[in-house]
Amino acid sequence: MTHPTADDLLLQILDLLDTYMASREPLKASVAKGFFNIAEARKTMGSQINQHNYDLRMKASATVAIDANPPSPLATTTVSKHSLSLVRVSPPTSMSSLPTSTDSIPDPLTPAPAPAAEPETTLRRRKNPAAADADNDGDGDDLGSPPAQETKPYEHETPQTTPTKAKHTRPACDPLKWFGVLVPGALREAQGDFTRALSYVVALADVQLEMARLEGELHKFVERGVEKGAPEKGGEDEGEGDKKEVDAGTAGDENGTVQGDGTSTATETETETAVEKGTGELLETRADRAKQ
Amino acid sequence: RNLIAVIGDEDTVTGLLLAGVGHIDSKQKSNFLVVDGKTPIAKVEETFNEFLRRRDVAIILINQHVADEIRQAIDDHDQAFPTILEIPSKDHPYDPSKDSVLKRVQRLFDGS
Repeated sequence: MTHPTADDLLLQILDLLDTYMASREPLKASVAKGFFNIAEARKTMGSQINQHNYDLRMKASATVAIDANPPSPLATTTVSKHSLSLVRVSPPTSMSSLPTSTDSIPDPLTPAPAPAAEPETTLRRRKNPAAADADNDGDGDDLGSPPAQETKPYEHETPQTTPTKAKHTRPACDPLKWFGVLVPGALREAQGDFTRALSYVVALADVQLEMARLEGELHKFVERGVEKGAPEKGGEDEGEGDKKEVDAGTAGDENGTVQGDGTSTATETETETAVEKGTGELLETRADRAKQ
Repeated sequence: RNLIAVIGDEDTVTGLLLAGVGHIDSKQKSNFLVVDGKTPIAKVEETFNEFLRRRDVAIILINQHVADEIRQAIDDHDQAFPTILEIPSKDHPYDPSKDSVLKRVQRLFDGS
C-alpha cells in the first residue's frame, strides 16, 4: 500500500520512542562519568575549571551536518527526511610553517597513529551510532556511501586554511588547553566522556527529528481523513481502518459501508480514536518501564 | 546550520565545551550560556529565543532543570530546527515525565 495508515505511523513512532528511551541510557552514563571526572579534576586544579577560563576565541570543532533526504517516489512520506550526523572539524592550529604541523589537537575520536594527517586536511568523521539504527538504516546507507559527495563542501576549506595559517596565528583549539598546559588526567577523561556523550546526543536528536516528522505526517493524515468526506476516498480509508479495527479486536460500529459525507467522516475519526486508545495503553506500559 | 548550542550549569557547559561545541564568532556572539542560581529566568528565556532565531544553530542542548524554568517556551517550539534536547545535569537526573519530547508523543495518544 502506498498510503500509510494511522496505525503504521503510530507504530513507527512507538518504535522510535523505544529507540529514544534506549539511547538515553548511554547518554546518561557518559555524562555522569564526565561530571565525575570534572569533579576529580577539580580536586587537583581547584578553581581553575570555571567559565572564566574559557577561551573567548573558541571556534566549534564539533558540529552537526544536516542531510535532507527527499522522499523517493515509493516512500510513504511526503516530507523530506532530515538526518543528523556529528562532524568533527579540525580547525587550523598554530602558525607553524610545517604544513604537517603536529601541533594539532589529539582528537579524542581519532586513533593516535595519524596526528600528522589531521592538521592539513579538514577532518571528517561521520558518526552513525547504532542507536539510530532501525528506522534510520536507510539514512545510514545514504550517509555512508557517498562520502566523496559529502566531503566536497569541506574540501574547499583545505586550500583556504593553508594560506591563512601562514598569515596569522590561530589559538590552540583544544579546549583542554584552556585550563593550563598540564591538566590532570581526569580532565582529559572528562573530555573523552563528553565527546562520547556528544555522539549519543546527535543520535538522540536524529531520532527526535524523525519522531517529529512522523507526528506531522500523522496530523496531516488525520486532517486528510477529516476533510475528505468524499465517498470514494473515504471508502478506501475506511475499509483499511475497519480492517485494522477488527484486527485490534476493538469492537465498534459497523462502518464497513460507506455512508453519507458527514457520517463517513465521523466513523473514520472514531476509528482513529479507537486505534489511538489501543496503542495508548502500550505507550503507558513503555513509559512505566522507562520510569523504573 | 551546524552548531550545537548549550544552555546549562557550569559543569555541563564546561564538559560540552571540552568536547568542542563551543563557538564564539567575530561579533562575540557565543552559542552557550552558563546558568547558575543567580541567572534570571528572563535571561535564560532571552538566550533560548535567540538560539532559536539563529540560523546557524542546529541543536540546542539544555539541562532539564533549566528547561523546567522555561518549559512553556520549549513546549511551544514545534519546528524541526533547532532540535531541542534535554540533558541531565550533575545534580538533576533525567526525568522522562518532564521531557517535552515524550509529552508530545503522549499527546498523540491522548485522543482528545
